[in-house]
Amino acid sequence: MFPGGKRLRPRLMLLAGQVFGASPQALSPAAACLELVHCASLVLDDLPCMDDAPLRRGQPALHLRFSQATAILAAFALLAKALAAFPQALARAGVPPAFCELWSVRLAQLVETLCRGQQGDLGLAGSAVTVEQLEEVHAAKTGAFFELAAQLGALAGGAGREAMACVAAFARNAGLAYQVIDDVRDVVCDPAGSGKPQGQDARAGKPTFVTVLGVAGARQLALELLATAEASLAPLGAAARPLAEFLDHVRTLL
Amino acid sequence: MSAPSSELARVREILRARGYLAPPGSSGTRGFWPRLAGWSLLLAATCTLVAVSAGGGAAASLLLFTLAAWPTVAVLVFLATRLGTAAAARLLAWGARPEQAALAMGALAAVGVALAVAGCTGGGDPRPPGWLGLGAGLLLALHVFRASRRELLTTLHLEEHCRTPGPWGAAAVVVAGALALAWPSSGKPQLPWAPLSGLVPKTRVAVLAVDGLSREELAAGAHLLGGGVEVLARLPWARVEGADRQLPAEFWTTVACGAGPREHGVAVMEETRPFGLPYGAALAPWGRVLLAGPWQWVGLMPRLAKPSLQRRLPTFWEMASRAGYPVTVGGWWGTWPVRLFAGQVVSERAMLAGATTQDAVSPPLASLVEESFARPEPLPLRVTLLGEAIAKRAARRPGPQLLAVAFPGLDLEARGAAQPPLALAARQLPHLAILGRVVEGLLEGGFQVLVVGAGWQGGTWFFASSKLAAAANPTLPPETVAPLVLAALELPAAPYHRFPPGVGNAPLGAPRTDYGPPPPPASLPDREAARLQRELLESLGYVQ
Repeated sequence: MFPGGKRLRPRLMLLAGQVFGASPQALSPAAACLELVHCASLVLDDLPCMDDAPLRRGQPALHLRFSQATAILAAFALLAKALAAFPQALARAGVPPAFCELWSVRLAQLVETLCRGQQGDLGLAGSAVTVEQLEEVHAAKTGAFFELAAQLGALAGGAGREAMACVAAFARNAGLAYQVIDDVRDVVCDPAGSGKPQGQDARAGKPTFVTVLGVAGARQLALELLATAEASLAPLGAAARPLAEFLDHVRTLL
Repeated sequence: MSAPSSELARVREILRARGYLAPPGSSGTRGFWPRLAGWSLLLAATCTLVAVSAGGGAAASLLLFTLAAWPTVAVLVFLATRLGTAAAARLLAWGARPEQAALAMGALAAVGVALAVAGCTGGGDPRPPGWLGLGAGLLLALHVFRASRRELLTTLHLEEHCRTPGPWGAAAVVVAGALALAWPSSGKPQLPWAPLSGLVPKTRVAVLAVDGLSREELAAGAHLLGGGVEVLARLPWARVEGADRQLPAEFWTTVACGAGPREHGVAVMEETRPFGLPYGAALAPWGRVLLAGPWQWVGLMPRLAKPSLQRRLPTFWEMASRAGYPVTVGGWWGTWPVRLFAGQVVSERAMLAGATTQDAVSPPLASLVEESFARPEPLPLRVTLLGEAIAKRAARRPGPQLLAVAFPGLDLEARGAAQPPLALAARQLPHLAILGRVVEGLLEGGFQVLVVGAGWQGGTWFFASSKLAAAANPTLPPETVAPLVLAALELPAAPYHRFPPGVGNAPLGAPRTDYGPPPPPASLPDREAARLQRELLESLGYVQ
């Protein structure tokens, strides 16, 4: 948990809440739950039977530091903790009681979506892949998480239906952009900057947006997705500035 | 590594199709007001379709009615939306799950739509296009259920709990609506009158249509007055059943045509006409609120008397006329406007209001109407005296002929101000006395007299004729009177006529004749005449 990472998902939730006037303090427990789920997914992703990644957040992956069994158990513990704490965290965040249970179910569904995304990701290795398949995997692994985080923040701030649609469009585009950027960084960044070994996808034979479009094309696509995400915020006016700044931060990763 | 721009373009295209690279505004999400406008327009169109097709209105009025109803329906839908959202919030506060609240609100919306649509049928027995319209309404209700549920879930940010409604619902509504419109509603065309060959007039027949006279009142009148009334009461008679919930124009047209309202098409006495259109639709009370709404209060969608232009079958006097019988018709409901055939008619418009225009009365009888309306007696008595004058005039003519005359005076007395039974009976006695005189005169003139008594205020409805079997008093539906009149005239029945078993001289296997469609109207009534007639009908208590 504590080496940090970018904390994009909880940050996204807090920023979305900020746009609609939700208190960051009240939102923090729910945001922490999201980060717990994300960490659990990373621990599982790094396992030898999955991505077999040696580094995570600049440090040895958990299964290398301890053992695979410990890593698996830790991931389950993190998930259980997150799911157990989430309803209360939502209530504290100011989410109406009627929604708490449903959005807790959505978090559980997100875990299922992440599993589906990871399964799809494993299936990509060594095979010819279509853009549709890539998008499906990325949407399940990252996009869904971004959407849930941003929508929860907005919901806690009392966003209306149209505003919610803007936030969802923002998160969907930003999520895919982030994943495309991640594909680019796998090719061009050194491990010190990314906290992950370089060329990991290529070694695993995993097709990515870089495989399909090349680095320049993938960069271009990421920028267009970020621009769309920014345009999605236009109806929210100046209040959406924190989310625009989030996009600026993502842009710096390119 | 650089991708060709075409590859990037292809990827863009794929991602766009999957909901990326487009801000929410351009991805098809519509705002509240366009949705409100769309739904209310669809509801207004469906209600209009049901009301117009169920009430036998002109299809051409659909668009105007829909546009007229749109603002009212939009306001109602807006209020329903707000109330529904408030009710859903209340349900949520009481601990209901959002899905349950959405389900309940969707069901309420569907019930509301179904009631609105059903209310526009008037609760009657709609013709096939009306049923189709009703089917379209039910499909719309189902569609509204799904859409309302989705709307609420989306408002609650729970879109993933519902599937996007497919286009089938709206498509089914449109198809059912189109079928309802395309349904052949006009039946046979109205052709100029022409005589039929091979039929010879032989007898003198008088058919008296007495509104407000039940069998019991006739018996009491016979006891008090004797004479012609007693003769009338002694005629063999049959009970007429199944018509007491019909309107006078509907019932008497059924009697005259020998077929039910579905076949002859006259089922209403008034209609709502939008914005000066020469035709409109008969709207049920709820339909009027929904479709005519505020327009009727500012006079842009007036309620007018409906002339019987929509009749699709000939009456027995038109059939007799085609067979060569001289025909006189007086005051029979559904005879306005007068039709172009070889006969003379005083329509109900002339008989009740004294109108002498070409649409109301055949010119040779106009003087009778004028004379009657110059008399000092109150309207009910004046009307009965006019009936007597028409009968007397016909009786003077020698040779075979048909007289069909209505006597609504008894009913008019009963529909007037509330009065004690004895006082009413006293007011009705002069009418019965006149009726007795008429019967005596007709019998002396060699007429075979047939009488239909419609006890609108209660009592037994009856058909009396010397040709009926005197033993038991059988029961017959009103549709069987016309073929019995034709039998009295020694004319073949129309192909669609049916005789009640065991009543009169039911000629099983007797030849039938196609008398063709009804003749066209002599002239179309104008809007002012329709307005005046409706006011009269309202003042007399025939319409509310």
